[in-house]
Amino acid sequence: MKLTRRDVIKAQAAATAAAVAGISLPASASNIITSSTANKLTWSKAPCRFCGTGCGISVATKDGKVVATHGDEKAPVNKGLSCVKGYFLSKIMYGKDRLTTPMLRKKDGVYNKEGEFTPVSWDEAFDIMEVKFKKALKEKGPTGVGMFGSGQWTVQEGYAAVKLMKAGFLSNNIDPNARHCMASAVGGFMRTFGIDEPMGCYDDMEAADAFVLWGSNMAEMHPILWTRIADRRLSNPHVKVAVLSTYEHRSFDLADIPAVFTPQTDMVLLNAIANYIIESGSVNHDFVNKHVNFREGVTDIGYGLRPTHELQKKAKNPNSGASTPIDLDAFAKFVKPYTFEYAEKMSGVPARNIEKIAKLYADPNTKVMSLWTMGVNQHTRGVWTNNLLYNIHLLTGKISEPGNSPFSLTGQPSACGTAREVGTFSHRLPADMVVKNPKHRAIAEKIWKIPAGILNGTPGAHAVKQVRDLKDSKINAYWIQVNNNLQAGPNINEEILPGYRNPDNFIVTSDAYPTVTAEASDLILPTAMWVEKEGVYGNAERRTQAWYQLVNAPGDARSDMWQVVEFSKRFTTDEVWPAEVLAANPEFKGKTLYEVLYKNGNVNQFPIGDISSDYENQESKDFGFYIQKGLFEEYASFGRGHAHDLADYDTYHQVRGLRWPVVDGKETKWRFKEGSDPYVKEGADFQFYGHKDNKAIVFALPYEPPAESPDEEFDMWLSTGRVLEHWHSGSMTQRVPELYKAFPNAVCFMHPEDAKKRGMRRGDEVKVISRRGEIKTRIETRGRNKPPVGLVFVPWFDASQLINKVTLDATCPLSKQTDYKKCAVKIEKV
Amino acid sequence: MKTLVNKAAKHAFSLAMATVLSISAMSVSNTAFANEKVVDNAPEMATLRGTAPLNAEVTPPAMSKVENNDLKRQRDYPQQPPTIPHDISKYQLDKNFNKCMDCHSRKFADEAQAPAVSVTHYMNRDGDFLGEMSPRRYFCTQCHVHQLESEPLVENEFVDMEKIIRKAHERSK
Amino acid sequence: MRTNKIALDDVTEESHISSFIVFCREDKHQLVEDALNAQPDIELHGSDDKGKFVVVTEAKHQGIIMDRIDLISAIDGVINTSLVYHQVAAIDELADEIEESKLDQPIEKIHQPELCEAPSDNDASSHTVQ
Repeated sequence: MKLTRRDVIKAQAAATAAAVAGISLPASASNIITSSTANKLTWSKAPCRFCGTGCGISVATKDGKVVATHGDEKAPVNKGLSCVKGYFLSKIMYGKDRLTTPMLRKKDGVYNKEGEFTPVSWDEAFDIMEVKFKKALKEKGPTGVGMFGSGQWTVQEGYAAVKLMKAGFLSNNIDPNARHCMASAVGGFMRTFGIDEPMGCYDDMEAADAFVLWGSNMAEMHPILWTRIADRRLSNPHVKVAVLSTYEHRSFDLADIPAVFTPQTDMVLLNAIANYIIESGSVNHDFVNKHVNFREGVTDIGYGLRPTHELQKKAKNPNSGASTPIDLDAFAKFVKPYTFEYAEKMSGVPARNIEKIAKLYADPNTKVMSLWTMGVNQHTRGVWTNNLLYNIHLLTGKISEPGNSPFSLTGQPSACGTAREVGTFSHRLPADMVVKNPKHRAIAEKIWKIPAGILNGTPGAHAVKQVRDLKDSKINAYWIQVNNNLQAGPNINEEILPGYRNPDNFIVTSDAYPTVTAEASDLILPTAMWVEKEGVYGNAERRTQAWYQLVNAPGDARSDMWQVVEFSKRFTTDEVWPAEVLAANPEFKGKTLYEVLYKNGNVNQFPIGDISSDYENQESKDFGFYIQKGLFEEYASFGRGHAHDLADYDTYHQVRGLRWPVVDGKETKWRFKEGSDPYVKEGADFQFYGHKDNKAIVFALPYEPPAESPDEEFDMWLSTGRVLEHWHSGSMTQRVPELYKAFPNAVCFMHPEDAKKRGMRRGDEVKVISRRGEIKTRIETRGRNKPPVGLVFVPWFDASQLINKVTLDATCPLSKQTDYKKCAVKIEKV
Repeated sequence: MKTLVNKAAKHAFSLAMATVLSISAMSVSNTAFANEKVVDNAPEMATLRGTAPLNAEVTPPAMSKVENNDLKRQRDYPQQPPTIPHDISKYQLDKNFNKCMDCHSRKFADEAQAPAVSVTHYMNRDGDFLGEMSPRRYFCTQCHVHQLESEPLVENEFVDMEKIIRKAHERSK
Repeated sequence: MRTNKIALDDVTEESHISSFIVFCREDKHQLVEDALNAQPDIELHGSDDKGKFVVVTEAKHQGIIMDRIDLISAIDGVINTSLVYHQVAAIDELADEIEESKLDQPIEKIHQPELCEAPSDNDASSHTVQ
């Protein structure tokens, strides 16, 4: 059949309309296109590469290249929408400076920490890594090595890495950058409910009568969820939106109740709302009596700084999460001082506005959804603030029902799926289990088919401690994957850069692009990204989503999972496991870690033939078995039957994600609620089964001041964060011309009066200076962010302005998550 | 493993060139680490940072103006949201008022000579058509962004589908 | 940034190719389908069996396309006809075989539909001067 220009245009016209209408064209109607394979685009599904929303994306490929991307009409999360980053996903893999070969610092032909980056083969790269990791293990034992991963790892990548570190090297020094992002949320869930992740789901957004944003700027950070809230608010005049933040931003454009509060006083506001609920007689006593316990937490717990730090030495109960049981009356007494007047004095929010927000929670007929992310989690009292949020939902019984939903949003595409569910944290194992618990370790040893008692029961170094251990030469061989910690981590000048460049250390970075972290490393491994590999992500509403490999990675770039598994071939059990364990289990002697961890009868049980013939799968071809499926199925066996049930792997390639627990093929929308959650017993109504007595906990916790506040010299608050157009450190989005040109450089958003006071004008070059470091940037007194007097906001996406040289490495003492939202700075004209 | 050939000759050359250029920046020797001054001896690596060493901060580029020429820009694929070819810095876009719709709504598009918003903007979550713009599309800036007069630091080698299809046709001849 | 400034004036004899989504009452789906098939200038490219159709048409003048939309809209059961895609091409090129690709010839693609109902701006309570 001859194809004319007319045929092509008509086919394109039809295809465009069909895409808009969500209709798949029958073969007869689209035969013009199918008759010529040269014109045919292959459309496949994949979750978005960026935030924790987990939008479904339709990806068009042609001759090994991604040529178009748009929101998937069939994806329940986004129903055809996508934010500007999502629309430009097509271009993230095609920056001209993609890394296509390993690069090692060399001088005179050999590795040298002070050498120049030189292209090497994978063999040479693994050779030097092997030497350095073996040396560190020999000299320091399992704590001498470390790995820093990400909530942007696929489930399989994170799982493979956990196995190599925890079961292979017997080291718990593996942590994800989700530590900087979701650790406080995890701590909050575990403390209040005994089980991680939200009980509700995105469907709450179509059911709620009120939305309260606690420190979250969803309009920029979760734009597609914001479209669902905007849809609900603008279509239903009775719906109210309250936005609380330390500065005014785009989410305020939809706010019925705006509130700008002094940093850290969100805790005061939450206790004031709890007090109002009690004093106005709005406690749901039936719910509280049946389903809630009360406890009072210990206070004065420090700031997660080095033990030698003054603030840490001053704390009475550093790092303590202990608590004692109390009752509702004692709780009422505890929050009584938190009146609206006191809250206004502390927070700067007018009492009448606090009351408006409190009434949304107190009114039994208003379904309330609370939403929060980094404002609450990146907080020196992050776990506490999560607890305080659950308090007000538990006191009113507004939980686990459509529209009544305390909802902890996630930052990264698989912060839930990989970091939390797989348990890539230094203290965790899959399915909410922890390394400290001998029973949990025994379960893992059994599933992993490794000798009983071999796993290490001491939690490893978390993100911030890893960096301190690098600087202190305690960790000497270190592998960073899917993140850019030299830009993202706190206090770069005093901790991270000295740690990475410490002559005792060997630093490996796996990345698709030459980031600042790569530059600070000794070996760079070129890495496949997004649809250049098959994988699974888990989003904020417990939705597990899979995708196929759609294109090949350029050059010698390989996925993180391939790198980890291939590297495991370099070690034998004799080199890394204790001799007595091997003596007792001689069948493991002389085996490689590859054999005992991945060719263990589980991971290698699915043949290559199980892979869809329509798609490539580079790793499986290399290893000779369907490794993504094998890793997933072994991992899934941790959670099945334990309220973390996942469907079988192949199902996820068919559907647009499912929300766990998936029992008998059915997903779960609202956990802990009878009729919706299969784990709730008949007649229980609600059952918070994460705790043994099936009750959730309301915690009495006070306001405590931040680690650092403005003073005479450092007279401004600094808050940092993201912008809509850039994902995290910008390593992908800054390489998309349209996104770059939309927001090319970081700026210092400042109130015009603050600028005037300092004799500064918009566009002036200034220094942002803290006790730890400084950057040069330019003043912005207009635009999307409007800080109050006394606060500046600087986004961190810009590699040429490393704002984390300025931030403080204070953490929540319980979650070890850094507080990037408040420290003291001064602004000086250059 | 041995089959993976090192194809980075070109990259190696550019790095070598960069090394030559950066020698002066490197001359502060590695002994500096002893007094807590970290030397970054590969300041050309992180492309988005230019040649600034990691332990130094350079003068940021002057703030760029918004491209404000109203010229329609070509898109890389039909689904791509058009970027905004004019300044929107003073537009009101909140729950009370959407300034963009003054020109881009069907009612005013002809008069304003502005492209009317596409039909997808009239569909709700279920794909049914509404009589007016869907509230889920109300905040235009979630998909449509202005462009500043800044030159991207890194070239993007994305190839659009027409070029790829044309190549395929040429090959099939 | 590339800009596309090719003027339509360069195209002398033009032809308009458009696609629409036709949206009808679900219970009238079959009747509407029959009616669309009966129209000589209308190509039906697909449907979802629940009241949505993808339709393509070609005409020498934009006005003819408008007339056809009116005709379709007049079919009993049709709720809405929305223009999705509209491309103007030089008529003498349309018969070219694609192998003789002339993709760089002057062609203006207009992806913006011409026939959307305007959103109501009536509830605007305030107005900022641009």
